[in-house]
This record gives sequence, structure tokens and C-alpha cells, in this order.
Amino acid sequence: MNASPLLILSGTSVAYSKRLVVPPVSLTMLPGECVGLAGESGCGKTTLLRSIAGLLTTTATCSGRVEVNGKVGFVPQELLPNLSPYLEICHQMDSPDAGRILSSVQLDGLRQNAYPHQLSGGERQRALIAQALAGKPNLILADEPTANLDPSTEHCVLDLLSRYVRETGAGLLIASHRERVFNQLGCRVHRMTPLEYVALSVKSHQAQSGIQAEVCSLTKTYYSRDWLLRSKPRLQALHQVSLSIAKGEMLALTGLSGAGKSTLARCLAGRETWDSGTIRIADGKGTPRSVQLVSQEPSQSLNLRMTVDECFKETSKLNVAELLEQMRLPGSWIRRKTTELSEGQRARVAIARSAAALDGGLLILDESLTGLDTVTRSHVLTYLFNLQQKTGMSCLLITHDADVAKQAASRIIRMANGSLLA
Amino acid sequence: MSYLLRRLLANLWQVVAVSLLSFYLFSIVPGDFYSAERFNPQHSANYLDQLQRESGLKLSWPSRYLVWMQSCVSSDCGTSLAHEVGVRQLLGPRLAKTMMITIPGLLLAWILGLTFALLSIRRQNGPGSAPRGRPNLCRLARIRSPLTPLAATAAMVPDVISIAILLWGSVRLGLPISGIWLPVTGMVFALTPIVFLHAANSLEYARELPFVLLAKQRGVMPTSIWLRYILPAAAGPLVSLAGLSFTAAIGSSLLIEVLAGWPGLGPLFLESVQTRDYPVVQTTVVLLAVVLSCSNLLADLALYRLDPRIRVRH
Repeated sequence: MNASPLLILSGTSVAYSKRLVVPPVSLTMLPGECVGLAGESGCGKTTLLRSIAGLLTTTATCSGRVEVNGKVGFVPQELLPNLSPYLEICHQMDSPDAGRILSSVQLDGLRQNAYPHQLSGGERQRALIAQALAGKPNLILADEPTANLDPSTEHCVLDLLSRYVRETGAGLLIASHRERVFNQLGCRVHRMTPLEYVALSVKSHQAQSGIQAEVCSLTKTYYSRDWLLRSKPRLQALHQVSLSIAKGEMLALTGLSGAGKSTLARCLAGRETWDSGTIRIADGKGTPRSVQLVSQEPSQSLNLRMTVDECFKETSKLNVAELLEQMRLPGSWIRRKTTELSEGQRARVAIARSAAALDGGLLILDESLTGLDTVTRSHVLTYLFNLQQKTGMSCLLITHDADVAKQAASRIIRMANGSLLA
Repeated sequence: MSYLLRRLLANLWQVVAVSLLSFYLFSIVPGDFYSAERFNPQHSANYLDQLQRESGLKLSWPSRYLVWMQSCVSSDCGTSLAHEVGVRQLLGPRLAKTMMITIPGLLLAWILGLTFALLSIRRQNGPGSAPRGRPNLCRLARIRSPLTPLAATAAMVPDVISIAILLWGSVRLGLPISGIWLPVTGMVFALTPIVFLHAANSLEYARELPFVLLAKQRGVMPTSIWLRYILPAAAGPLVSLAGLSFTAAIGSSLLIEVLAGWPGLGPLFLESVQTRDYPVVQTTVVLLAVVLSCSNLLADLALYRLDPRIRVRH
């Protein structure tokens, strides 16, 4: 039986004001098929997916043939901007079966009735996946759908997607940097740039003596208010958390999505108040010069009205072009607006800017390496190790990826339900 | 401390600060209500001094402020020097007359402004789309609707000019130049372009938000997109504007009443400033401060209800 293709791309390319960002792509997808889209950060995966979903901005020009047969469900890479801040998650599903679908992505009743700003990055990601599935699409376009998920949740979500594809005969076009995602789904992989393997040559060096940051019995509860006067505790995000980070140390913090890792990072950076406990930072009291946080969504870290050069000039006087090249970005991009960069490229700019702003101190990377391919990630880590050696900077690396944690950190701490595990 | 209590205390502090400042400013202006009488040969200097003492004008400004505050709590907010009646008694009917034009004028301006804004946005190709079609002046200038430059020009026209045009038009068409329609129309002319410009901008911004575009891509019904996604996102700036527009409307109405000859607070306020009738001026200023605080408080409470991010306790 010859089933009609769900998606036909023939010489499809996308350009932003005559600058080609997606070179011509030809691809055909049949019903029930999973296709992986791989390539280094900034090669045009997101733009290609957005052009298929009809979500390109008006300044982009798409040429070639794009033919989609059936309904498209899109899972975007940017999380918070794609969820309405005015509606609870369950009310953004536009489906009578919202509760069941949200439960299938492991979002319980409390999370289903929460607003997006009350959820962790991984929970937002799962909400967006559920939203796409609720529309019963014939073709799912997923842009890094598991970037913010821990391995066990990633496994469940991929299992759900693969079951949906099997049961409904829908197609799945998935962009990811993780080869294991393609392996689990049994995808045919379309590579937009050649596959490279780079082994990390430099290792994190031993921590120096002295404490950079010390957290003692930190407790944090999130409250919500029904109306004007009543407030009630909604979630205990941190419970008696104590840890210390030595000077020049690279410490990895892992744990399930929603465990409280980002809350701890925000408290350390002075962006969040806490109920009880103390935080002591060496060389200042949490001033921008002593703690820098690169948030989970890089676009939230950068002012999207500025050029790359302007972003750097706010905090440091270093040679921006040189810094960009160390981050595997062309030095000539200093005049580019941050809106013209992909999420992975923005992540690199945000990391380089925060690291350059520090003079020693503590750099917190909250899932900032997840949007990067292996080669780029190795370059970024090498840059950070060198900087640690030069300035004695400490680094708290929050990640779901056990491989990254093992590869980069000298010590790994696990977190679950707001507490550190022994 | 609860949000409501904090906001109420902040408002009270604002009103007290405004009243103190206006009292002080009024006290440093040279001359008083009896200054003009000094040139009247029928009144001796002693007689005028006695009148000044009786009306409390010889007191220092803080003492006068305290006396006035006391009278606000216990009686009539002082006695008008020009009209020789209690200020509250004098201002009551005038305030009612002002509200008679302010409330309908404001409501009409909001209805017209929002309707035009919705129509101008709805006429476009839908969320996420640039104005397309045959090139014309609007598209060349990257203006979404021809109403935008028209409203921007109208917003810049001073109230004096719009009332003058209305009066000229009424005379030419043989319409009565007295009555409520003239000041109300003047207010609508003054406020509609401002409401339209803000509403059109907010709606246009909200239509382009990523979550709105994604909802449209998911195939959510257009009515649902407008009611559940676009309007709540556009409502924030409009609610803030609503609070400010009430105060702006009262401010405009004072001038429009003078120009249109409407017996509201405006002509009385102007006359009181000219004659240095400080109890009337002072009470009117505080009244306007109370109105501003109350309308801002209502707008803040509406925002608190509307945006769940504000309700998060840090």
C-alpha cells in the first residue's frame, strides 16, 4: 500500500533578508515515521521546523516546496514565552481530555492547576508537549523536546511520543542534539551538518583551598494568593539545603525536573528570597561581580533588543570578537542582534558574557549547556576550565545529563524534592 | 501585610502629601483673598486685617493646614471666602455637574476607542501576519491602519481647539450651544484618540506574542484566541490607562466646562484661583488627589486579579 507522504520538503531553504540560514533541504516523511533532525547549534533546525509549522517571522523568506498533509503539532524550544501567563496549564490545553494528557507527561494535579511561572523548566517543556499532543496532530514537529528533562522523564516522554506515532500513524520530526533520543525512537536521522566527535581534552582542575559559596539549612516555600488577602503555601521548593562550593571548583547539581535546582540557583544569585537559612558568598554579598547566573532559557538572560557587542559591553571591556571565537561563534557576529541567533548561540553568548563579567566568583549555569551539541559543549567547557585556571572561578553546573556532569565536574550532588541526597 | 492594606496606606500617604504640598505652594504665592480689597477706599486697613484674622489668613501655613484638616473631618472643609458658604456645600452640586459630563464622556470615549481599535486590528490578516496586499500609503509607511495617524493627530489637538471647532460647527449647523452635549462631545474628542492609540498598540503587541501564535498554529478557534489569549494579554496596559484616564478626564472636564460654559467644578475652580479663595482651591485639589488615588487603586486591584504573576508572594 502506498500511503501519501505527510511531509514533503523539496529544496526548502529559509533566508532572513537575503542571509541564508537554512540551506536547501529535501525530505519526505511517510505516516508512522520518525525522522530526527541533527546538526550543530545554529545550523537552522529550529528555523526549518518553524517554516514547516508556518511560524516564521515576517522578515524570513522561505523558498522551495513545503507540503504538509494533515494537522501539525509544534513543540517549541523556547518554553516560557510559548505559554500564556494568564491561564493555568490545564486551561491552555484546549481539549476536554486535558487531565489525562497532562498526567501522561507526568504532570500531577498540582502542576496541572499551576500557572507557567510556577513550574520548573522541565515541567513547562512537558506541558508544551502535552499541548501539542492534545490537538491530535498528524505530524508532530518537536524542537529539542527533551532538552530540559532528566533521563527518566525523557525516557517516558519519548515513549509517549513513539506510542502516539505507532497508534495514530502520525509522523514525528524531532530536532535534538542527543543521539540517544534518535536511538530510542528508532529514527531515520537527517543531518544538517556532518556528525563530529570531539573528546574533551582538558579536565576540570582540582579545587583551591577556601570556600566560594556556602549554603546552610536553606528553606524556601512558594505561596500563592487566591485573591487579595488569603495566601497559602503551594510548594516547598527547598528543604534544609546545605552545601559548600570551594574556590575554583566545578560542582554539578543533578536531579529530577522540579527538584528545586533552579530555585537554589536563583537564591544563590540573590534573585529570590528564602524563608530561613543562610547563604554566604566570598568576595562580596552576592554582587554581580561575585555571582553570575545564566538562566535555563538563554533568551531570558539577554536583552533581545541589543546586539551581541552591546550585551558584552554592559559588563566587561574584553575583546568581544575573541570571546565569540572561543565560544565557536564567528567574531564578525558582534554587530548581530541577539534575536538573530539560535537558542544554542544565545546560550553561548550568555555564558561567555557572564563568565567575562566575573572576577573569580561563582558562575551558575542552569541547564545552559543542554541546547548545545557535543562539539560546541566541549568547546564551552574547555573555555570555562581555562578561565577557572586563570581566575580561580567556581562553577555550579546544573544539568540533567549525567554524562556532562561526569565529564565536567569534580563533584556531583543529587537533589530530589527540594533536598540534597547524600 | 496584605496587599490591599499596603495599597490603602500608600494612597493615604499620597493624598496627605499632595494636600501638604498644595497648601505650602498656595502659602508662598504673594497676596491673598483680601489683597484686591486694599485698593477699595471704603475698607480700612484695620477692617481688612480683622477679616484676615477671622478667616485664619494670618496664621502660619502649617497651623492653617491643621485647622483645615480639622474642618474637613468635623464640618464643611472650611468656608469659601468668596461665597461665604461651606466648601462642601458649594462643591457638592458642582461635583455632581462635573460627573454628569465626565462619566458619560469617559464611557463613550472608551467604547469608541476600543471599538475602533478592535476593528482596525480585526481588519488585518490575523495574528502574526504583516499587512499584505496591493501597496498603498499605509503599507509603505508600515502603518497598520489609516486610523492610527488620524488618531495621533487628533490626540495632539488641544481641548481649546476642539471646543472651538465644536462651537463653530454648532453655530454653522444651528445646533444649541448650551446643554450637556457640547462638553460631553468635547471630552469624547479629547479622550477617544488616546484610548484608541493605546488599545490598538496593546492589541497589536498581544497578537504577536509567541503563545498567541502557537495557539493559532494549534488550530484554536479564533473567538477563543481573542477571548482567552489576546484580550487578557492586552488588558494589562489598558487597565492601567483606565485608572489614569479617569483623572485625565476630570482634568480635561475642568477646562472644557470653562470653555463650554458648563456650571461644574471647572469655572468655580478658576474663579477661586483668581480670587485666592484658598479653602475652595485646596479642597478641590485634594478631591482630585483622592479621585486619582482611588482610580489607581481600582486599576491596581484589577491588575492584581488579572495577572497571576503579580499574586506570587516573594
